[in-house]
Amino acid sequence: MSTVSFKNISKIFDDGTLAVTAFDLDIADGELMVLVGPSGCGKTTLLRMLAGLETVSSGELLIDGRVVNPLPPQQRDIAMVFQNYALYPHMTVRRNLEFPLRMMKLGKDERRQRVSEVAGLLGLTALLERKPRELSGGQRQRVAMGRAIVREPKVFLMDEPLSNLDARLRLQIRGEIAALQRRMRTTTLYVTHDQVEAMTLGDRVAVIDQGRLQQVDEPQNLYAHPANIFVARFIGSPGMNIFRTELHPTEDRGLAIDWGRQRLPLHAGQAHALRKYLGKTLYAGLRPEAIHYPDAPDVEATIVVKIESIEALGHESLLYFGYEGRMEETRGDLSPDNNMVSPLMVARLAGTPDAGAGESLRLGLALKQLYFFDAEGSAIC
Amino acid sequence: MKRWRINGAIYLGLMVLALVFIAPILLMVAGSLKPDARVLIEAGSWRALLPDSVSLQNYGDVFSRVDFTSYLLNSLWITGCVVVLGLIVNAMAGYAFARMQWRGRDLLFGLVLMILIIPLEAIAVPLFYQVTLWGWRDTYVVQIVPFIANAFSIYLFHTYFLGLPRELEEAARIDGAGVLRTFVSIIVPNARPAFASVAILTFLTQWGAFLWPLMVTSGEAVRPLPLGIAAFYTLPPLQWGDIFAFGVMMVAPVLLLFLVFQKWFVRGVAATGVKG
Repeated sequence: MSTVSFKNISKIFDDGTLAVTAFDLDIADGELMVLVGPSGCGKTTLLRMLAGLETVSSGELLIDGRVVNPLPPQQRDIAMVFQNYALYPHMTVRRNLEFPLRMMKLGKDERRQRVSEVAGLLGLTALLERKPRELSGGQRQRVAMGRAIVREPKVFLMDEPLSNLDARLRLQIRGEIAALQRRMRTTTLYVTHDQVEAMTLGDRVAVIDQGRLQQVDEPQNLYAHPANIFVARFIGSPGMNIFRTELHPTEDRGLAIDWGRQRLPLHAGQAHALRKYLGKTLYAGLRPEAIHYPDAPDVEATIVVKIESIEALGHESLLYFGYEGRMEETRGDLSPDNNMVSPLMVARLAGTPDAGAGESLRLGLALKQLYFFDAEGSAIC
Repeated sequence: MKRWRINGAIYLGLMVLALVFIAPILLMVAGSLKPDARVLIEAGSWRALLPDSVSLQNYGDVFSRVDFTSYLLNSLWITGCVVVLGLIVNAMAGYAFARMQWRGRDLLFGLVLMILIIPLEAIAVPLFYQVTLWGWRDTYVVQIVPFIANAFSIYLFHTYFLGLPRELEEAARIDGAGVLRTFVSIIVPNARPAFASVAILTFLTQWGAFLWPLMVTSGEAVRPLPLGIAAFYTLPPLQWGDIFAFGVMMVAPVLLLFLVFQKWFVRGVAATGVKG
């Protein structure tokens, strides 16, 4: 059981690439912390720095309050599950599981006992004499987990351990990892680019972009209270729809925003928080789950959209659409804020809509669920 | 029909080519089993390739005319030492060049690559002076030490190690293994094809070494087989059957080694992209 702290960590590679910038994060004892972000955001570099496989350019890494920057991997008392498992191909499953115990110079009896316990826990008992090449992807994954567990380390590190598995197996192993971690309560740092994996596994989730920590919070809070546009768009599947808008005073001393050529009135609370942004650039966000059929109960305004495409998932559909003026706003990378706004809006609708691509459809908006971000992309309300 | 003819012609051509390569070996083996008098008589006909009356007399003659065992043991000892020590030294050097970070690594590796193009003949004379100064002449050491570190072997190991997944080493380090333990327990067992290739190539080179042993040895006590067969060739009376028998016994260990390690050797050569 251990704590982990990243204190103002930066990493600059030899070629000058800035991979991580001033990164701070504290992981509590027994916590499963997920680092999530797009490819190349620096999450794996952070994990590798904690493992001792990459040097730290500046800042301090602490395990259990002890600075580990100068320590080689073997002295950090950590275990790691690699993306491609990194099982030793010439060793049987038993020897793979035993290897870290041999390095710890444990006696034969204790090694045998620990291997047998872990094999039982992970359902590997019947596979102990097989070589990795004789195992399926899921079985290899379990052996990799077993090799990490058997040492009873202070910290588990997992680098996208599910990314080589097919969808069904990924779901199954994800559940097994969660159950295992709950049972062992070993402090775990888990890296993934899959936000669904992050949300379902993490006690807390740290969202990273371009080497910087964007937000760290419990999964539900990340979804409900994103700190900025990046988190809003990254968390959720699909992510939040973002559009640029302007505020307009209404006759009843309230405020309204533009949605294409349509004007949508804001609630009093929203108007109060946004009044100082009158005349300034503003971004609004609406989750796909807040766009409904017009007759849904919490709909406060309706719009007509032109359907670009529909992804029918059976029990629900993802409907991609633009609206008048929207195309000019987002197409062709002409807009300077194009990385802020969503190229196409998306709605998550029950069943399958009665219209197809190219047709128009009336949709309802739950305006209470609008989010607002300032010109820099930080959340306002 | 046309296709069949083309294929037939190709196969015929390949068979002739194979025969050209295999004929000297057949001639040697067959000749070694014949009475000496028949070897030259049949040399011009296809019967030279077939041992019509098998006899091991020539093999016995070799042992009675020269101290073959001494030559053989010398060759085995010298070649064995060069192969074993070479595998250790060159594999470690290749690993250091491929995986470890240290100042001057790339410069030094460049120099190693440059050594690849320098033949032994070019440095034989200065090397000869050096070993003479050290008093190494007429010893096993002089035939072993200069050939342990080998640029080609280092290059071959380096190429192979680069192809091994880096995660294996990282996993071993995290599991608690130091550099040497990682090398011995993880890298070496996964680089068997490279070891087999280097072993065979080194064995072949060393087994047939002639010029250097000729320069640095004068007594028969430490001389290897190639010098032995050269001396045997000039030993009157000239007996072709005996010479062939000597040749067969000299080539046999090489063939045996190749047969045992053939699978790994082919894999190693394929994996490193090196032509044997």
